[in-house]
Amino acid sequence: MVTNDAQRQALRRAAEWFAHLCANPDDPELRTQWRLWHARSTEHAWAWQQLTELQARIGNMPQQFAWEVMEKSTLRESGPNRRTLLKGLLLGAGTCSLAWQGYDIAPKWMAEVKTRIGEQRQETLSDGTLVVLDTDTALDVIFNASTRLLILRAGEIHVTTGKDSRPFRVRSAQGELRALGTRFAVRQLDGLTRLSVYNHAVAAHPEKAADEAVIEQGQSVTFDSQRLLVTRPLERGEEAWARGRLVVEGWRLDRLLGELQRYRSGYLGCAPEVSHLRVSGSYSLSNIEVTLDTIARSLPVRIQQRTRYWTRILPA
Amino acid sequence: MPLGNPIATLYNEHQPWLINWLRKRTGCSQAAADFAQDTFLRVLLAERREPVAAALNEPRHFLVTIAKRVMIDSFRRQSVERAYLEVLAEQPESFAISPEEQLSLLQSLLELDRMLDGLGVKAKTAFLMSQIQGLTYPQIAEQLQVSASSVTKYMARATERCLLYIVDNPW
Repeated sequence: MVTNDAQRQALRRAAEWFAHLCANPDDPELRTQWRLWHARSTEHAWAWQQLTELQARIGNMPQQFAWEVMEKSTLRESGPNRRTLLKGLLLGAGTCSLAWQGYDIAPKWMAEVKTRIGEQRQETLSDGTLVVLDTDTALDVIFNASTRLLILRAGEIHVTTGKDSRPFRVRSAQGELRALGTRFAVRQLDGLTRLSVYNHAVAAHPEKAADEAVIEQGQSVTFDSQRLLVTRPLERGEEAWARGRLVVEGWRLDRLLGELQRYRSGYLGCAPEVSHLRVSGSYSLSNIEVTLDTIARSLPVRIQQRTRYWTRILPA
Repeated sequence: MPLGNPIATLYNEHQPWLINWLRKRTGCSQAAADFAQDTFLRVLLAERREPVAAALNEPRHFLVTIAKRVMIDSFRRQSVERAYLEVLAEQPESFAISPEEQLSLLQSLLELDRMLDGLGVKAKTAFLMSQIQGLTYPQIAEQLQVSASSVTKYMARATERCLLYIVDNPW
């Protein structure tokens, strides 16, 4: 329950901020103002946290289905002067969906650089650094006189750092990475961060760990906010995604589909009887449907496609 | 319940009367009994937050107020459930969601309906268009034939209502 006026007031302000940020999600001035507001008091942070909670409750419904139900029930009471409004509208850019991945105070849609599901994009930053954003990725770029900082809010980035005397860091939900070399990738997983080092080395510092650990070229490490959990050699072809290819060697089919799933909306899965089949190859990430056909032709399987958003691989 | 509990007193003295009142309203003994049960349950929950039962001047008036609310909520719930089933029935055969997903989807929709309860239809519509349909403010403004700044106001009002609901109804 709201116990005091400060909380009540903070909720009202959080709602106003949300409404304004939805209107202008890319307005840097507004975002700066919002950050200041958010940091000003614990009530403000608490109130904003309730928005994340709201998302958890209503943010994951199938869009069209949920809309039709609400239109038939909740909005029906509005009487005869309501036009057939709302039917058949094209979906907007979704600039302000509550469906963000709320690990941080700032939701995903507020990040400066974003890719949609299935999209990959290369950005050149002001220092000459090249960043490839993988599917469904959100990134903030904070460069100032003394530092270069990327904040990865979701997804995966591949970084080739530009020559510059300022330190280069990447922050994830679990900690911070300091570039010692020039080429590496960072992926934000659910509760974990994975770092893959392709050139020289990167220092990894889980948020609550006492020290940083230097990860050498050819290594990949996965960590939570406490410690490094898994260190392993890079797999062949692991960097290929940054060029739009998925290169795999002897992967189980279910693992491959799990990876491809990230690049398209909807359900993609397989029957248990075929999940163990092994797959090797180089697959395009720009057209997953073609890739699925290619895979299906190389295995004793068939594709069952019920809708655009529901695909399952079955025994042939 | 211990003797002297104000809720117990309320229940013992007025429950038969309330059922009778509800039976006249609904024309159904079963529904009346269910509504009465839900009414006392709600009184009990409210009492934990803020005890009022002992100090009621007009206990029957109080019970009727709550009972009306229970009935309205029940009809709203039925309305959402019916709409849900209608939309489900309209889906192509290929629309496959598991029973667990169905249940959680229906729960979310019911909750969303309760959150928005009491808002004007424009505020509701603006919020749902933005958050469920993913429309932009200019698109919403055009649909509702209002200004963009009105959309912002509707959104703020609806969001505040949702946040208050979240805070008052923790999972």
